[in-house]
Amino acid sequence: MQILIRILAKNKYVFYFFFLVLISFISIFNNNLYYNSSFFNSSNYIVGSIFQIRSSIVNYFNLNKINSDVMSENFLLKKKLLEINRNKHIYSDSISILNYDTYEIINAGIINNSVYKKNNYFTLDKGQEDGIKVDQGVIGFNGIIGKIHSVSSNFSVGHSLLSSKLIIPSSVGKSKITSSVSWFGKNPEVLNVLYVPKHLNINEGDTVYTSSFESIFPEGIPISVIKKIDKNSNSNFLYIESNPIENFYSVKNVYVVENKMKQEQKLLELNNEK
Amino acid sequence: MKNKIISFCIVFFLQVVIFEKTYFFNSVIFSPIIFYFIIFNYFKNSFSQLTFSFIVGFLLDIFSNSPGVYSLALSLMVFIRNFWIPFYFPFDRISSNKLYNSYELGIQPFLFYSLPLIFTFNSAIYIFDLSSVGFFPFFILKILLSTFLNFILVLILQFLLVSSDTKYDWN
Repeated sequence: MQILIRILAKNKYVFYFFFLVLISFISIFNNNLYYNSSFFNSSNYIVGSIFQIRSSIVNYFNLNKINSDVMSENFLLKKKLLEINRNKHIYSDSISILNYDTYEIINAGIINNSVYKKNNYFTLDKGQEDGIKVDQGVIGFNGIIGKIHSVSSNFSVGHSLLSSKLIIPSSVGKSKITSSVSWFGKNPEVLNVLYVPKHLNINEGDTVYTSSFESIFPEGIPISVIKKIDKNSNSNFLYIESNPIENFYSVKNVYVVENKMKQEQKLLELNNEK
Repeated sequence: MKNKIISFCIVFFLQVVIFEKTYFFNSVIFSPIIFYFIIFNYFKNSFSQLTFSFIVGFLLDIFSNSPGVYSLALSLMVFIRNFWIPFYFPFDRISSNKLYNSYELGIQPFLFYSLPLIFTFNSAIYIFDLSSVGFFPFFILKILLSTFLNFILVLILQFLLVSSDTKYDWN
């Protein structure tokens, strides 16, 4: 025992270092411990406020671009609205419209975003007080952005689609082949489409959409466009690479979607599993 | 002392607000904060320096949403420095009241002293935080390029923040 104490006392600096390394490794490999507390990430008040100031300054110098983005978004929305009005009688019974009624939308701004890490995150300028909750989906004007992970009163942090921790249930092409989309952490321009059997026919240029399986995102939101299909992969599934539709480098304004029926759906699914 | 705290806060702020968001040429990260951990005075087995590096790393982790990565990288760098200085410098050149910068050591010794430390820091960041290793030689090349450019950044910061006649003033 005395020898042990002597060794500890003699090498206390080294042991202290290994203790710090242990804490770091626990933080690196146990993300839940870290993210369950909103204090330890950029959703905390001080960090969020600093990023908000930074974002306001950057946005001020990009006002022209933001303005033209909003104009083109308005133009497309106007076009869609006219189309819906023109075909009101067709849409009135449509399932897709009913489907969108189950979702509530909150608009938010991205104040901090990363694209080059293994697991990328974004920080939103809205939090609990604005109705943001954990596990809500985040979409941009063009497509999927990610999922909320941690919320404080005024800010929230989410997993970006460019995070290996996020797998989005999806459907490919017109025949709506069930699949999943994930990022393998290499190139921010490449998302992988998983679990598409080899015998099914899909083509380069097909769009990958969200499916309603996870009840986080509305069905039919574009995720990516297929760029490369490899039928000679060793597994039973095709190796598919796709380009994300949303531009993660420049996205500023997003919509957080809340499925009002999610709780009910989950409860029912849980009861069925018992 | 007050000036040093202010300059440290400014460099920390630049790190989290500007440099943390930029990934130059899709391969290089700049970390100005390492400047302080390379040049500060040497005290053998200093718990306070190790603790300070861990706390600064922890704060950087909060800003960059990278749990544990910067705290590991900075404490690893300070730990290695603790053994690197007595190994690299002759016994009579080690002093607790001097700064380890290029004014004090000369450019070439400073280069050989600081490059392994910067390389250690960058390796930890690249391995645990940045995108997957991928093609290994290219991955190493990225770390080496980052190391060299960070060395230049450290030199620039040193010329901006440390004047050559105040070299003994950082206790």
